[in-house]
Amino acid sequence: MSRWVDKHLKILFLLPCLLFIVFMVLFPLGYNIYMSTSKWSMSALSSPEFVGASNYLMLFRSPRFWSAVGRTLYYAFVAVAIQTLLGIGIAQMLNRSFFGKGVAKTLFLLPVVATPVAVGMVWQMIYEPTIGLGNAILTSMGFPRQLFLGSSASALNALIFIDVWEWTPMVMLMVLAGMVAIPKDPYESAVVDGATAFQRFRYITLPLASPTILVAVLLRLIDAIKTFDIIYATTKGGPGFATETINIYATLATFQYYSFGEGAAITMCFFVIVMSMAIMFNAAKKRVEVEY
Amino acid sequence: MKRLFALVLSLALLLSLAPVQAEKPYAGTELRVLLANHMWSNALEPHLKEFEELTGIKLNVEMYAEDQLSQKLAIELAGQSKDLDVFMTRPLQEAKQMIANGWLYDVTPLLNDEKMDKADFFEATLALYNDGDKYFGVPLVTEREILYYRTDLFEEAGLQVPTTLDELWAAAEALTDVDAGVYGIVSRGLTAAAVTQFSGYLYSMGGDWMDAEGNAAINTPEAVKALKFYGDMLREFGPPGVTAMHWQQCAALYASGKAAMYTEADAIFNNAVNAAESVVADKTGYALFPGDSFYNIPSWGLSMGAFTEKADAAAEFVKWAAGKEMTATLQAAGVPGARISVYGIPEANVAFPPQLVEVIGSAGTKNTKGYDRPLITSVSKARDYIGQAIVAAIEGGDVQAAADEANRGFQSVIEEDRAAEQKK
Repeated sequence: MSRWVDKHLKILFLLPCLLFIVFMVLFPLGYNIYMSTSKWSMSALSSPEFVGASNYLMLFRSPRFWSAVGRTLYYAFVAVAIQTLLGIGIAQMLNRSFFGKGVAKTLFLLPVVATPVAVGMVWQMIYEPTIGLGNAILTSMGFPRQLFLGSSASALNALIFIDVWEWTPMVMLMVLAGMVAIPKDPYESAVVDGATAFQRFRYITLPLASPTILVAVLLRLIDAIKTFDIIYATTKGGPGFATETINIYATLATFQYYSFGEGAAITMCFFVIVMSMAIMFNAAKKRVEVEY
Repeated sequence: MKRLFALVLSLALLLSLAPVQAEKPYAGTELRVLLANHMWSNALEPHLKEFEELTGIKLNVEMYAEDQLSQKLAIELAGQSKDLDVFMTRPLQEAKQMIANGWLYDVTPLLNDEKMDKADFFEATLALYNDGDKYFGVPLVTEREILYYRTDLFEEAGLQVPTTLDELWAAAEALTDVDAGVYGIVSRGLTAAAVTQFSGYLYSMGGDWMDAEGNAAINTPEAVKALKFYGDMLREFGPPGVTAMHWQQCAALYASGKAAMYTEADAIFNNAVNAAESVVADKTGYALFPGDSFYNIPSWGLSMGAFTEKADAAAEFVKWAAGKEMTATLQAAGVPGARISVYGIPEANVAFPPQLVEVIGSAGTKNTKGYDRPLITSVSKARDYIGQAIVAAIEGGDVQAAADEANRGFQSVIEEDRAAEQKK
């Protein structure tokens, strides 16, 4: 027995990991591909019927699907762009010692640890156009009233604002970790050479922290594309289809329209988008990797 | 010898249990009951203990908002969950698909039980749970679209209660006072949710969801006229952000005194008028929907899971909850029931304002329709498309173009349904 174990040690040690991948990744993925080529209303009386690529063809012809894709990308890129800029800015401000730094860092982190559905509900109240806090603040500062989530023109941007509020601290924290790890010597020599604060930031901090920034952007981007909880808790895709992202569309198709094949096909397209993004960024990361 | 002994022992055991079983045959059984957060469930909740004492059955009740409930049911029933015993369903929304999917337990024997008195249910309400010669649910609640209005504001302005849509428009215009924070009218604007309350406007303008051949008809001149009316009215005289409002938000707004009129289902009058924080409880009048036609429908019923292992105990619960006595008790707490007999019991109608009883009673004499949304299998998808046109109308876009596009989407849903049915 023990000899057998010794002989197959390599495989045995890999086995748990392999089993995990097979059952938690490969099987669901394979099943999803199978479902996406079938038509099924989840009926207990009839089994899924094979329909080939017709679910995909129907999606590719549907303006509703393409709008959802566009909205998802818009949401993710705009939200993450703002978060990255703000995150780097705040990290730069916090990257020095001052009184109360620990408290400030903790306070910044509060939105990250809040439950997303609760966050959605709170913001729904803030965004209430008639009696909400949002308009009370805006009008007291002399700005016109906004409809926020109540208009298809502004709803998606209002959601992006929530995402920025919630996740900027996360980006800030990661970037800050990258900045702290940069050695002090280049800064010292730069000061001796007469570099201004902006030059030190532009030519030392930014390039040396860029791998961490990129990782933060990648993680956030994938996360933002996957956003579901906040949208579902506030607008459920409305008004009209104005905030319907791929995720929301897939949920509706599956659990409200009882159209399992359509839902599976949507999630497959979604999978391709997220995967290609991950591959792209991995390649980009290799190119900017630095050593110090 | 051993076998004989065991036989005698088990027989003795059975006999000793017999008297208990005759009284409470399901004592100790646990039932999982999923309810929607609705007036009916709220009124039933305090009585659940009585059922537990009566039968010895233990109830594990879960309550969800209607969309969450429908989603939860879909997930569990698709997984053929064995511990889903009793749940609320919407006969016009998901019941048709659930029956087609084989998710619902056949309750025909239960309905034929003498005590249930099948003939006592409004026929149209029972028909929606019917498939062939089988029934898959028991109707609980009926509702009609009515007009809630503020008696004090109407008196102040010297206005008559509207009986036509033109009068409704005029009243909404006259009662809007944005500076005072009062909007002339509120009604649902949230995409799919708005569809059912838009129906009265659509029917009254001579439109309908589908034409005689069963094709999508929401871009007809009548429908576009109704869309424009509903959209313009809510944009001009309704609260800002109405396109994000389901009934919960509308009811809260009306209860806080910020709307002079409200077109909505009568079944939620407790939420709209009698809520704890309501400031309009003694200033609300009720009137028939001010148009020629509106819906009069069963909104909720009780069904059993097809895969339940406790069907007999579950049937006991359904018989109790949808029985004559409980229907009368709940109607007395303000839930319009689906049984004919309860409307004749004076004690059962004490919770309703007299004016509302009158309105509900006279609804039967009007030209009502038995549906507030298209009568097709894929209702949910169809509602999402029709809702697009309603939102566009409220936001003031090109209504004809939006209606055309919504009609195309709706028609594609109808055709998908037809194809699915033909395959059968």
